[in-house]
Amino acid sequence: MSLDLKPKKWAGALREVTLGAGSRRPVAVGGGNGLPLHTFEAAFPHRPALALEITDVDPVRWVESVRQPWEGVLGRPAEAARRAVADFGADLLLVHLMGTHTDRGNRSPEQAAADVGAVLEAVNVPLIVKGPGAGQKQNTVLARVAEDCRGEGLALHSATNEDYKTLAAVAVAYGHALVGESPIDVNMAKQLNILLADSNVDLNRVLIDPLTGGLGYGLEYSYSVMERIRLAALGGDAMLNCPIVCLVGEEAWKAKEAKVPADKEPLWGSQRERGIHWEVATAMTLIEAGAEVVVLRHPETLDRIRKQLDSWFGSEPSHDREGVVQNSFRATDEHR
Amino acid sequence: MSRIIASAAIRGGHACVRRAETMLAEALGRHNRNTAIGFPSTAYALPIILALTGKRVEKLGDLEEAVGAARSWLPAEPTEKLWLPYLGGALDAGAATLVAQEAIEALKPLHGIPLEFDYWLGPTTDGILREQGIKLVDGRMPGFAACVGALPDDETAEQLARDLQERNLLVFMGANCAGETMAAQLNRRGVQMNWETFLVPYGPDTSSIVHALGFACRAAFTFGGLKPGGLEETREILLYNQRRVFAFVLALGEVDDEKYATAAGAINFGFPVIADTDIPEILPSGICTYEHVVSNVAHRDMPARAVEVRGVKIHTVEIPIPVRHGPAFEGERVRREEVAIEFGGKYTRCFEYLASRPMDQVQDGLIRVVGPEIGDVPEGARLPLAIFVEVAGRKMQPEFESILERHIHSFLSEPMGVMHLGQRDTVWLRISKKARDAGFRIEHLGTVLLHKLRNDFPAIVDKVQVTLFTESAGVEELYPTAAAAYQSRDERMGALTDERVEIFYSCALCQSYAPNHVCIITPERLGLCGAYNWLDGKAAYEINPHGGNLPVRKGDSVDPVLGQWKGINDFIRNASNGAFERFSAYSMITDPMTSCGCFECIACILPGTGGIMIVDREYAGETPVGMTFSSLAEMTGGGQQTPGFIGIGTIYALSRKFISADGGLARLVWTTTRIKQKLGDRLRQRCEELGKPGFYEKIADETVCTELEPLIEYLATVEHPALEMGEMV
Amino acid sequence: MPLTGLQIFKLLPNTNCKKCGYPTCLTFAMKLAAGKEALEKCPDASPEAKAALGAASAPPIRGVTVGRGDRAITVGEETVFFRHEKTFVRHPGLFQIFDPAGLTAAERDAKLDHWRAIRIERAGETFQVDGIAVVETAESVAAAVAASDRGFPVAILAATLPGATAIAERIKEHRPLLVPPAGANLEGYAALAARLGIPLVVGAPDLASLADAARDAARAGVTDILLEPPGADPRLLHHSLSAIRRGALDRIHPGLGHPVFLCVGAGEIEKAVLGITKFASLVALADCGGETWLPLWTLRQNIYTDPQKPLQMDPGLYAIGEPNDRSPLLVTSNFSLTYFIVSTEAEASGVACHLAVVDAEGLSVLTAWSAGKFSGDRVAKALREMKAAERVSHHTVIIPGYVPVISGELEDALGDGWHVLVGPQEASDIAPFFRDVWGPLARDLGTHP
Ligand code: SF4
Ligand code: SF4
Repeated sequence: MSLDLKPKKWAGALREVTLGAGSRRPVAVGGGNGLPLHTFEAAFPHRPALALEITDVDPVRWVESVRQPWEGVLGRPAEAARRAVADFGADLLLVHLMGTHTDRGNRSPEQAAADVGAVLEAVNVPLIVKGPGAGQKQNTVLARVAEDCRGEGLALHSATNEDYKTLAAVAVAYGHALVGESPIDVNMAKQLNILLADSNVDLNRVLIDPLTGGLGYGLEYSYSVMERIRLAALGGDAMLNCPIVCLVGEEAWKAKEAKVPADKEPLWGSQRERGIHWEVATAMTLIEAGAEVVVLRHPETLDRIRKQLDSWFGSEPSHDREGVVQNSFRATDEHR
Repeated sequence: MSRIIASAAIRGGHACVRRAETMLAEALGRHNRNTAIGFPSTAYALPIILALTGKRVEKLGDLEEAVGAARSWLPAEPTEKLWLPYLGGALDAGAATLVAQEAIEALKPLHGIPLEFDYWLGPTTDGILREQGIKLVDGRMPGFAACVGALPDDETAEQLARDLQERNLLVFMGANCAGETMAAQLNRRGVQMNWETFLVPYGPDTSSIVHALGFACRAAFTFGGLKPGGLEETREILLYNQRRVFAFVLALGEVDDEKYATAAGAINFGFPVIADTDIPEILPSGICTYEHVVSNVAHRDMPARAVEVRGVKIHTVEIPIPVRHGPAFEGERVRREEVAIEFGGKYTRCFEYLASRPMDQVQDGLIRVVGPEIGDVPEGARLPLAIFVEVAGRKMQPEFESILERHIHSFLSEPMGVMHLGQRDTVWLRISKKARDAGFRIEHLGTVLLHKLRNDFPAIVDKVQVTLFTESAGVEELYPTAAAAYQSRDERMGALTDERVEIFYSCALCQSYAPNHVCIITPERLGLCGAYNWLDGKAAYEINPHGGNLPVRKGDSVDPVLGQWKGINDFIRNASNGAFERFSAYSMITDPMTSCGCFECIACILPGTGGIMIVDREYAGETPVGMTFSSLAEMTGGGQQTPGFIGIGTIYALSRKFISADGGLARLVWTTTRIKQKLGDRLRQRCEELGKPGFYEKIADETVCTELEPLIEYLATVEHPALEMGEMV
Repeated sequence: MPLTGLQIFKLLPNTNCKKCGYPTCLTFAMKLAAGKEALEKCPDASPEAKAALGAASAPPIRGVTVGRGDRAITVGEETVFFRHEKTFVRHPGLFQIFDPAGLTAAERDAKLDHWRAIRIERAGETFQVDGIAVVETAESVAAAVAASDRGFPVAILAATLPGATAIAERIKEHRPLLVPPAGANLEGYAALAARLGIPLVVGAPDLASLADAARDAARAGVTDILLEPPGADPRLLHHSLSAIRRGALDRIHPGLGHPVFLCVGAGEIEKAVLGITKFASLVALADCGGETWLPLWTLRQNIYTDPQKPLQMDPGLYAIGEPNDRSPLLVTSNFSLTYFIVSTEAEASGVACHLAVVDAEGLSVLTAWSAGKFSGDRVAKALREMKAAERVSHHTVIIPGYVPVISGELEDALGDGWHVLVGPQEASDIAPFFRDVWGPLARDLGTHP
């Protein structure tokens, strides 16, 4: 008896968003026309991109095991960026300007722009630039960064339903992409995209951040919301078909389980491995649910996830030394 | 379109174009065609010309084409005999004027006329545009005022500037009136004019006003991502300005032909003109959001009137009251021993009444206390109080009165030291001694309402005025009006039937956890959570058209008994992501509404009785169907259509449309005592309306039984009408 | 289009005889419609009903129980592809792979005892090792018996038919799961499973032969079957898992309507993640450390939470750090996510405190409040039950910034001497709140440590 497994065909597909321009070697994401990783029945022009997070100031709250691979470069964004790309092989970087937060150093927009400028000097991968969190300070910081780095195709993180106008305007003005962040809610994500489109932002330059719940801390919400966003996109909803970015590292390493040392909880096993597993499990699960850009903290996680993805997308590096993007591939499965 | 304005504008246009042509010819005579031309530090060449013609003017020679285009747009100059000006002609002349004026400004340096001198700043650089223009786009700055001409005296000029500044508006100044300019007037008063103070003088000639409009165009290019090009692009740029850049022109002093022409140019951008002189008005007709030209406005009213006409929404960040405020103080109590003054409760008459008024009958920001203030009475005094709020708004509808009025409670709970309970005429309000000592007065209740209403409901509220009556005479005089309004609102709500409206509202708020669920809210069926009725849906849509509530047109009737309409079915198919094809408003058996999970109650059929039961969320016990509320909820929830089971808002049971396709309320055989209590007399009354004597008493509850067999016996004993109606399935 | 509960109800006798175990036919019909019951349970169902219900009379994925007694585990009975469509019902069992070769009896027992003792509480669930997958070697009979004796469900990772037979015979009362070696001829194993009435794993190199093999095993009399999907690499495994679930729900082949079994080697946590998220029902793990198990247990807990019934914490007073009677007292709802976020941030603030978790039926604070589950009265009652008054001397309670509206009612309900402080809306603001608001206040009250 043969199996009659019909490939699922969908009316819609994800938008293809290119990150990085100007002096960046661009990385494109999205564009797939099927459920995540369903390469056996759909075509995916790009593999999910893997980013590492670097910070403008020493991230004192990072736990030792995730600080360790970054030893010597924490709080030195240009050096960290070099290490992230050259040694760890990140496809792109998220520069977290945490030091601009009023409670964490209150660095000025000028300093922030200088930090991002230094990272742009140091590496040629695309950057996601994350501000200190929605509000006036974030707007002035990111507006300044956007202006000083015009034409580099940064992804500004992030516009929200309550506060999107400034970032929408500067993204348009200076040729950047924009991350729209909504609180684990399909309708809010859609509403924000409508608002962005209404502000003349090209949705082909927008990523959705549906807010990541780390493993054990709301992962299931992100998981289902992302699956639903993907289904809506495949159903043809032009307001929900932007690729999704997940800030996995930040959420995974926030978990108590990633931080408690083994001597405090003997049953929990090695802290170092546990933390990495926490990040790996969060990342893998969210990629299954539709993440197209995953931001990680530990290089070992990046390595492990990359090896997994190679199984679907071939083991070619996502970019070669000449700077040509080679992450495109076509489904090659016995059932196609 | 007024003939006078149109004729003047066209005449002015011709004059301007002629002047530009002359200056251009002169310049070409003296300079090479390739002579660079343009404003300093901008990448947008001559922005108005770029926006309106799609052409970059960088060399002197390029101007020929631009001025030629302006010439070609000009309609024939009207003569006494030939009368055909229409709005379009005047607008074309306006556009031609702006192009000509920009050419003139650009040519000035070649003629040795400086653009920047004394306090005149001349054209704005891109650097400043980037810093300031974004504020216009992202809403930090509500808009700009282009002040054309001069005021009768220096003092009035300063007053106007201050009034505009206070509203956070950017003030551009240009042109003169018989040599006098507003900038010169401010300068004599020692007022600082620069980009920091938001007072920007462009130049003394009328043509300098193009720099203000050029600024708007460049904001559209930069932050709106708009590209110059053909006609379509030009239209986009003008529309962008109309929708997003809240600017207006203040015509100060005599308006000559060129000013009319410039004003016509501004109207192309959707920027209306407010004049202090008695020029003809142009009322709403399409380009601007509301009126195009409003005249004869007193100087002190100009900012308010302009803001209103342009539809500028001003958001107050800090509400000016002397105590802290915010949702954090919402549930706070003011205890008896802390009371400085008290209203209502069981002691005095205290009510709140919000009424909508025509735009011209509300003086925005007016707050009056009629009667004693807090300092005029002894500590702990009890006074009567009427909180009388009058609002006006372009989109305000009398139906929204009750919704806004309901918000008074949360607004007045927000200042620290104010306790507000109840609504309508059951209000109880206390102000604490601490608040009073900090300077809080009765008047500040009005301040809070004013700002909150404007901030939270910008879509429907444009103007607010509040009167607080604190002596019996005023309170008693107003009360009958308020009481009548309460009653008529209730009656209106009662008379609002599904048949009488063409539009229902959807609610998709619960899709966050029940992905395919949509509530269809009709006048006679509220959302199943019990929190949203039809009016709420309507108001929510007006306030936020991209939110969770959308209007759904009923369309053709598919089945009047079941309550199916084509429009609703189409909507449901879409909104449920294709999961459901049809929706019956009045049946729980055939294509019933989906249930998300936050229903107040579940109604479910009881085979064997011919009836249904309704069980509420709080009820933890067994029910005759053999399931507790929570297992019922599991069956019913999740956004599925589950024939025989629906989640409902409790008071839906009182509706004439309650499962009317299945037999209606007469089917109710069992419910909980809690529901009986909650619905109380209203349920009795509804039962009586059914014309089945003693029906209410026949409805069983958990005190009668919680299982099916005894229920059937009971129903037989009391001869419940459902038994005769036959099984529902 | 599946039949609705009401349509099924019309096919039932409507006698409410309760023989199916449900009080009314309607209830039973609803369970059938939800794919949670099989029509067989109603002895009086007419042949017409059976015919009409057809395929729908049995769940699309059969349930399989491994083991007996308290720790027996039932898997399968899933009805959806996406968890948001309804919910995933039977969480996968995680089995520890155990190779007893070369161990003394004492060493073996020590390991088994250790595994049996593992209990980790998280958000109302107790994580434990669900079963032991015994690798067949010379020592395996004794090991399988030892595991069964400890109550563990056992999977037999067979190497040879005779060897497997020996083990299975000994513990057949405990319903072990028989896992034939890769590529084995299944006939003998099927006969053994059928004879002993125990569940069997069938595997095959591709999906079509897998489905056929399962159908053949069923014909050979095996009632409980699990499928081992082709999965040489992550992509193929993901494909197989997705296709099996979709094929089962679409009922394209009777051989696909079974739960899935997965073996995960050492250092392959990614494979286990894929299995747990994508429909595997029993996963046998070679790794045995908490660093592997804890993430997987947690992942399973997340994925198998009913999307409409959020995870709940047990209400009570939780200590963050080592609080004393002068430490701040916070209240929050028992929605696990809220609890986790609040406790994580409170912990990160470095200020020891008491966290009162109030039963709000697992709703978030604001939702709970609007549903009347987080009213001042309810919170006061909960605080009294927790004897909060004895735990803090300052009698000040900090409520979430989203519900200032309960402050007055709560203060009234708590009675004299109590003071309500409105905390921040977002948990991330707890640290600044402790610093800027609580700190000075506590100093004023003279209660600061
Ligand atoms: S239950 Fe209430 S909130 Fe939910 S969708 Fe219906 S009306 Fe909206
Ligand atoms: S056994 Fe059958 S007839 Fe009896 S109650 Fe259950 S479904 Fe109804």
